Amino acid sequence: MTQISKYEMFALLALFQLGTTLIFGFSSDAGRDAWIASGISTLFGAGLVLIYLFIFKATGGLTLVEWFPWIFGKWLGTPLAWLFPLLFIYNAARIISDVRFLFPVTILNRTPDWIIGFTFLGVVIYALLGGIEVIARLAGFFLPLIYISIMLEVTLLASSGTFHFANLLPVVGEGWGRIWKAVWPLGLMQTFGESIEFAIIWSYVGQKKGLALWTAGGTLLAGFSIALMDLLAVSGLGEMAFQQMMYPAFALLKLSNINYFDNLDAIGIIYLVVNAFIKMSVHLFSAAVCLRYLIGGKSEKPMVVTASLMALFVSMTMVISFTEHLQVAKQIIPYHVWVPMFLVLPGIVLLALPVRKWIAGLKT
Amino acid sequence: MNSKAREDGTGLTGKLEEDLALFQGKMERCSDVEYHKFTLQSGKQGYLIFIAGMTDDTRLQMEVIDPLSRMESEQDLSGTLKTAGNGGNAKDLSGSSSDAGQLRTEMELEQGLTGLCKGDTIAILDGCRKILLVSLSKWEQRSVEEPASEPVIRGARDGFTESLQTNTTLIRRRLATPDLKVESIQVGTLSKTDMELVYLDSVVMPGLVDEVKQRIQRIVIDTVLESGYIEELICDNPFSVFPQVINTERPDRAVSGIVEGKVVILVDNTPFVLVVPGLFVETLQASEDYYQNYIFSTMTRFLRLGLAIGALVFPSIYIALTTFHQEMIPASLLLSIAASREAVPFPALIEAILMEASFEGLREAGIRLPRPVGQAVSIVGALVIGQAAVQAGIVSATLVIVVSFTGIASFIFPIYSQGLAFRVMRFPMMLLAGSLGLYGIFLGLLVLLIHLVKLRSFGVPYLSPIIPLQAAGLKDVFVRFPWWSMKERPLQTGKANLRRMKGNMRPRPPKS
Repeated sequence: MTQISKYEMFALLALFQLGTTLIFGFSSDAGRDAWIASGISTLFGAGLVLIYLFIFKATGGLTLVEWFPWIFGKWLGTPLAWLFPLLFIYNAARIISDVRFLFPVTILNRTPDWIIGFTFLGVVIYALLGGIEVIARLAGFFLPLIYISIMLEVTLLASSGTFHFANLLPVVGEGWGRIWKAVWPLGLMQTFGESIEFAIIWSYVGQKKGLALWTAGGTLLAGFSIALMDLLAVSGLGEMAFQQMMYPAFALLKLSNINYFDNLDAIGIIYLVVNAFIKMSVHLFSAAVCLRYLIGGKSEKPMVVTASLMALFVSMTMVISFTEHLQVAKQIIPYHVWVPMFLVLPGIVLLALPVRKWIAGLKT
Repeated sequence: MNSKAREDGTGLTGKLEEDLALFQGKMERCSDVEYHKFTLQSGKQGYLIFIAGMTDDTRLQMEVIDPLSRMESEQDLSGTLKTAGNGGNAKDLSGSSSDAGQLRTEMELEQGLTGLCKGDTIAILDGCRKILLVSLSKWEQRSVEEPASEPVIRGARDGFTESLQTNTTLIRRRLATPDLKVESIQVGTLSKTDMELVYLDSVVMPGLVDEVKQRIQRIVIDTVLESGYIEELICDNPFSVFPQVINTERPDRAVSGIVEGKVVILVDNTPFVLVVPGLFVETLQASEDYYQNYIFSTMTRFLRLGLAIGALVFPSIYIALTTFHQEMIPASLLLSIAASREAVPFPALIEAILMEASFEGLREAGIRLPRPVGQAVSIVGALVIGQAAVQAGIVSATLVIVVSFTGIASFIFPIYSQGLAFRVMRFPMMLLAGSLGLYGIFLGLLVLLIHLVKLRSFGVPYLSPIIPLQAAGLKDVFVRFPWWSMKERPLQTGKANLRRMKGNMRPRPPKS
């Protein structure tokens, strides 16, 4: 079995959670206090991810999809388990849509979106056919690269006088209400809830000692980076622009005007390509592993292709415009899909753990 | 053995004329084979058979023909017979010429013929079933010269030659230890090319020698003309454009591979030896990096890395920026590019591919052309493709700069074959840039990266120590640490014997 190192898991987790937020911004509903909302989301999110890890360890290293048959038995558990690969495919489809909509809007004005979706998915499939090892190693390489880019971006923007920290004032000027609204459920669920997929990735980590530390570290690193980017975006753009823009963090890159660097679009493309690539790969890989378990195959490869094509189909058919795409993400999915699946079901599993132990104890 | 050879007719009969006819039959229509009859003083007759031009004539005369004709009878020499392994039989052929190089006997005709074709001199004697092979081979060969493909300013000037023996010596002289093992393997049903695996027994990566042997032994091919044959037959991913085996002409480079736990494969008749496993970072390390000042070497390495990336993507970035992302070019630069492109009728992609292709053509012509016409080509190349093309408005001046820079950049690879890979990959990158802009470039780079991550050379990840990251290995990747701080061999190949020097080797001024 292929194994990945803890550092690679850490990098994978951090990049996965950063995701496309480096382009879209995060918790923009909280306005100028988005960074506070992100910080709070991060703290709760780290707790949530650790709960997933706890369940993973308590079940003796069973992957997400095996939890439900293990707890609830075959008849009730298997249908529940089936929900997850479908959700992951849907999540992957959302990433394809992100890429598909964003590139024509930002840098490739006249390129048909389906070409972008096709090519991107092709690359992801090519990588996935090499297994999780390839993705993890790439993540290990990309993580420092992304942070160097972030530092470069911050330095260049700062030295071109883009940031006006007065935009952040007054801090919590409109009360905690909108902050909490941003945290719950979208902030918590969007990247941190999705990390439930690592309940599959963790089983590939070779040396499991100290996993909790690396996991929490990855989550905090990603979360606080998101908070920082929010802080900078608000101070650069002001609250109004930050809330109204579809991709505030990308717009921020255009504000550089130091000497020769009129804009930093290239960095934005790196963010988008790398993070979308990692996130989509993890989604599709998790889906493939779940499918393989549920259908019962030997290799993930046919499942990878199946899941990818399904994701492409879903992506091409589910929405027709970018606004609709964002609308769904903000208003429908968090409540109707993410909360029950990322919180309620694992919560039930968590509560059922001692019960199952007790029953198992009775039997012996 | 003796009787078996006799029965199945693969050996000699013992009757001189019949045996001679056997050889002549086998070597029919081989006008370069010479048969020299000799008579012992006892009256016994025999033949010397050898290939003209592959034998040292003087030594043959002095050390074989003269002693043989002086010899009274074959009994005189029964003592030396034993050393040749003939079992002291008086009727056997003598070992009189035992001071003449290497001496051995064969029973099988086939093996005698193989020896003959490799330059040995065969002696057969009336009434004797054995074939005596005297190794007096000598042929014209190039002397040790400075390697043409890997020149250095500072460093050893000797390069490998086409002679296997010379090459082994060049390595042995640098590693005077019994730990240095030289194992011999033969490949090629027709060419019977000799190959040698050279490694340090105490340092070599565990399991590597067996793996290399196994991969070489499964090769069944008629001829091996160059080590490139072997390289393609033993690499891990035969569909990759990247060199997974390092080839070098420099003995110092080969030896540095050996002390890092690698195996060097020497192939006869070529000055290019193979070093396995070959890693990506090695193709960006010149042997001179380790001889010059380490700070300078570090700068050179950064330069090399930058130019390597430039060689891959510089034309594609030009295409992407001028076609899709004009807004990313600073205004003043954009104006001058636009001005130079004003008269050009082609889109940037066509323009760039035209120029790159003609540059590649010039380069190829430069290698193949006969020396006397060299000047003509360079004049035509420089004037027509450079100056005139711009003035005629076929291509823009900016593009000529881009193409020349790329051309120079693709020469910086210390390992030439890696330069080839980058030259090839430049074209798909240009197509991607021409169709999908910067997005296409990043996608292309991502695909390349995925491919490189998947690639392994003899089990070692091709991009190590960068991916997967080994922090200790980075001492010799982007920067070249000073020698006194590189206390350990690279982890991926030198695990068996990690330590290479004592700690605290940093020179310090004496305490007064």
